[in-house]
Amino acid sequence: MIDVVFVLEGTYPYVSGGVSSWVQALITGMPELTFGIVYLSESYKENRPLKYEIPDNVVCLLEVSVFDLVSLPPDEGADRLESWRAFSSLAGGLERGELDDFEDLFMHLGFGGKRGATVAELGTSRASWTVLTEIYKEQANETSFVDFFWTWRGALASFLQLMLVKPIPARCYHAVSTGWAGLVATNLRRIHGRPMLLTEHGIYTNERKIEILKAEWLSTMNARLSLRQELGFLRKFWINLFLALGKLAYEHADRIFSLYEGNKALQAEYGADPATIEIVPNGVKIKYLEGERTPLAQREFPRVGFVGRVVPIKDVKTLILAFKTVSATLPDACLDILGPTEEDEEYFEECRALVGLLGLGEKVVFHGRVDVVEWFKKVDIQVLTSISEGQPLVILEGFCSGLPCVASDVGSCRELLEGRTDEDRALGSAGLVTGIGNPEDTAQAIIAILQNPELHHSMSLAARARVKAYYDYDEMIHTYRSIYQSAMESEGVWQA
Amino acid sequence: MAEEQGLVGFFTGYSVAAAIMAGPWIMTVLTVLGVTMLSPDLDWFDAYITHVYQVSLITVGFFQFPATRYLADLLYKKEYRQVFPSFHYTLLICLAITTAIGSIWALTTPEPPGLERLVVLCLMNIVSAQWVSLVFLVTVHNYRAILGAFLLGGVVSIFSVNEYFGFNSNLDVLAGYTAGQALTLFILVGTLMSEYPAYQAFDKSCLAWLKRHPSLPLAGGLFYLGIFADKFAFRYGGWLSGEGIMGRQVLAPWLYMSEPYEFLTFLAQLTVIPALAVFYIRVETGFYEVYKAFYKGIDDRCTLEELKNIKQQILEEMKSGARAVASAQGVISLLCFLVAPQILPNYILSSTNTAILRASIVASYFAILLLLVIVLLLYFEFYREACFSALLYTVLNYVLTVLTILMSSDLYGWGAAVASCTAFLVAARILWVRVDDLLYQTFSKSPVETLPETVKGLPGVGRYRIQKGELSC
Repeated sequence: MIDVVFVLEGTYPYVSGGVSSWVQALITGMPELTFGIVYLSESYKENRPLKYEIPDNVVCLLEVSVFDLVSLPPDEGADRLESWRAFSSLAGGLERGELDDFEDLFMHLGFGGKRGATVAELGTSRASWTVLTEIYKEQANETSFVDFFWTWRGALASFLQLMLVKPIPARCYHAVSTGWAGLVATNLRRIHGRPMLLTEHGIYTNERKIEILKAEWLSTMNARLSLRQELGFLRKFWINLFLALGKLAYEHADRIFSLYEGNKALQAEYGADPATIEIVPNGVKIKYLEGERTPLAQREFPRVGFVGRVVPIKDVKTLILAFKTVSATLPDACLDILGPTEEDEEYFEECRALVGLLGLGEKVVFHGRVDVVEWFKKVDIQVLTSISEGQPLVILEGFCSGLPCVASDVGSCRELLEGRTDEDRALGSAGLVTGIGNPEDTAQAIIAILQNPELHHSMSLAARARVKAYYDYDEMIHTYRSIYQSAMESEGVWQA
Repeated sequence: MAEEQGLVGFFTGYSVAAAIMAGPWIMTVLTVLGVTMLSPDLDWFDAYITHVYQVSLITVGFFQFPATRYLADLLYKKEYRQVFPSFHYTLLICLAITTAIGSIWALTTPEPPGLERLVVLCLMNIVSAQWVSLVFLVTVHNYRAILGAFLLGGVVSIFSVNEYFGFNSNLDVLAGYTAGQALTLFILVGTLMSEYPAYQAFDKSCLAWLKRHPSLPLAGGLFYLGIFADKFAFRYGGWLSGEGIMGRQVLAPWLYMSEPYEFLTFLAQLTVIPALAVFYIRVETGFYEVYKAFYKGIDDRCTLEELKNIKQQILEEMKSGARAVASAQGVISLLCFLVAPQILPNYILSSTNTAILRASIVASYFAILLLLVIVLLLYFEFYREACFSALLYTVLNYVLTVLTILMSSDLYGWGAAVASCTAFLVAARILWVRVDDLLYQTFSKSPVETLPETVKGLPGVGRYRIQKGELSC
């Protein structure tokens, strides 16, 4: 039997990033355990390129598409009407943002043995039509019906689909987000009666909420609504859906882990019991990354570095706008953007266009994927302008090289730069925190550090000291090893 | 035109509509009648013509609706370059089938002479090609060219029956008729080519609808099969009646005729032109507008209430349209029913034949209404319902005709009449119920596309990318 099955949405091993690196670190750090991976993707894709070399102790990788539906035959002798009733209850629950009776859903829509209809039948049945039109009349009768219908059908179909993911047996399950991954892990926990662990780097419910509130496509969908002075029903729907999924995962997770205090508070706000939340920070391999730095004063010209994927959530455009101001004060400065650009090519092109528009052509270079260890030595400051983060590993990796950081006030960035506890804060500041999406604030912070070699030096020392004291990779692996041991040795969380 | 310009406009409008909807068919019927009347003793020629048209109509019938549907998609997407390659491919398939059927007959029948068989085979393919061309040409709206093609071809065909030139044998008349129809085909294809230049030979995807909706080709094929089901019962049902079926002749293996039944039903079918004209006008002016409004309403993100209101308008339009078609055609059919003896040529006039003609007029009345209902079912993409209606018609037409043959010659023709009436009533009811339920049918019934389950390993959703050993508890 597999020791630990990770349930991951859109991350390891096909998408690079902080969460993926963290998963890879745990797997390679515990070679004595076997791991399985359930990877949730948008749609099935043969020969999807791996972004990580899969370690030998990964014994299974199962890809599950959230949107490409597979029809499984219903259970023999199951009551179709009961499944429709459960379907109706599911629809109502998602609409309210509460899934009251998961056991009922599991029995009649999942692997509980009483599933009386296929996903396709449930989606096209007269019963589902009645349920949806009733909800529409009660909640959204001024909303575009076509948008309402397809939104509902899509969401319900995905939910039903994920209730039927291949039930891989394992000693424990580890979801690295709530949402769809949390649903799959909850379901696997229910099937096998083994513990479910939940670690959140960013708070999924919160991130989805931000995305939905900003989503232009939802604005387009609701264009008619503004004329009718109607609230955005579809926005409300999506937010409630992820809220319901979040609560479901929090309710069923046997242990919940957070990277830092801020996230813990958010998890509690979205429905987790604060008493069950533990903080386990990220860790980095200090020896591997550390090395001597050339003092700022001895540099030929100052270099600003950004390490990460060029995607909207990283808000690279704010960084480029900020660099325009930096460049006006420090004409020799250059900006090195270090990270893959292919994930969102449209966004990448927009960033390139912005660079051209601002006349920063030769000063801003997109390097693509690089050896960050080498680049941490070359740049003088790291800047992170993300609109959402958990505990960014790149900041910690930069700290190992003594690299000060300017970061937006998201996730645990403030804790990392200024310290979490009094003892930690006594180490000094390792950088400056700026407002989210604020180019001017970001620019002034960069200039303040780059124009003051002494400040830069003190921040560099504080960065090295903090990462050594609180964010050691070996310590993180040790903590998770004991978490897994405890979960694997438990007698089970549910008895039939 | 009919609504805007008073009585003259009214007649002009309906005449144009009739010419558009039934022009090629009327021309063909008149040509065949012309040839038959000029040389009434050519039994073989009549049999050839009847069989050629039946085989070609039924064959093309299976491809007509899928090709029309695909063509609509092409035109919607403005992919005009694919039209001619699609025509090519559909033509190729249809000709392959008619050639196969014709060849089986030509190779297995001991008579007529080989050359005659060869000409019949050619004619069968030419006529099939004409129908396929028409399916594609309807989109061009060049009705003058279409009617001109049939008129010219018809003149040549009739002119070939001319004793002055010594053209009076079966082969002469057949060859002349074939030449005329080849000319028609030549003009039709030329018109199509001038409208849609070809940039590639074939577009094989044009028949994707055959696979995607098998009920769509079946609806067309079965309807034409239904039209001829009663003729088949008369023609091949010799064993049914101890006394023999009136007017039935066996010319050669596979070449049976049952006159005057076939001639009378043929004549009766000419009475339904008004229904086609009124339907065309109603669809073009009223129905299509509300039909379009419904789907535009979906595109425009209307609310459920707004969509329900448009659906109600569709029902109202269907109701008033049905009343207009049924009453206009009803008046004509009733008139023809009453004056049936006056319609018949002297040499065929008898009390039995009058009864058959009257029954056939009733059968044609309901058959054309059934066809129009099937067309509306296809408009709303209720393919299975259209297919069921056509199947019901085919089965009822054959079974009830057999029953009437067994019962009495006084009932000849009434089997087809009851069959078409029953099939029409059932189809109309289905259409009404489905359209009344249009929102559910449009939204909820649109299929949830699913992939097959991967059978590897545990049951459930997901695909293994890595799997080392068996996964077990």
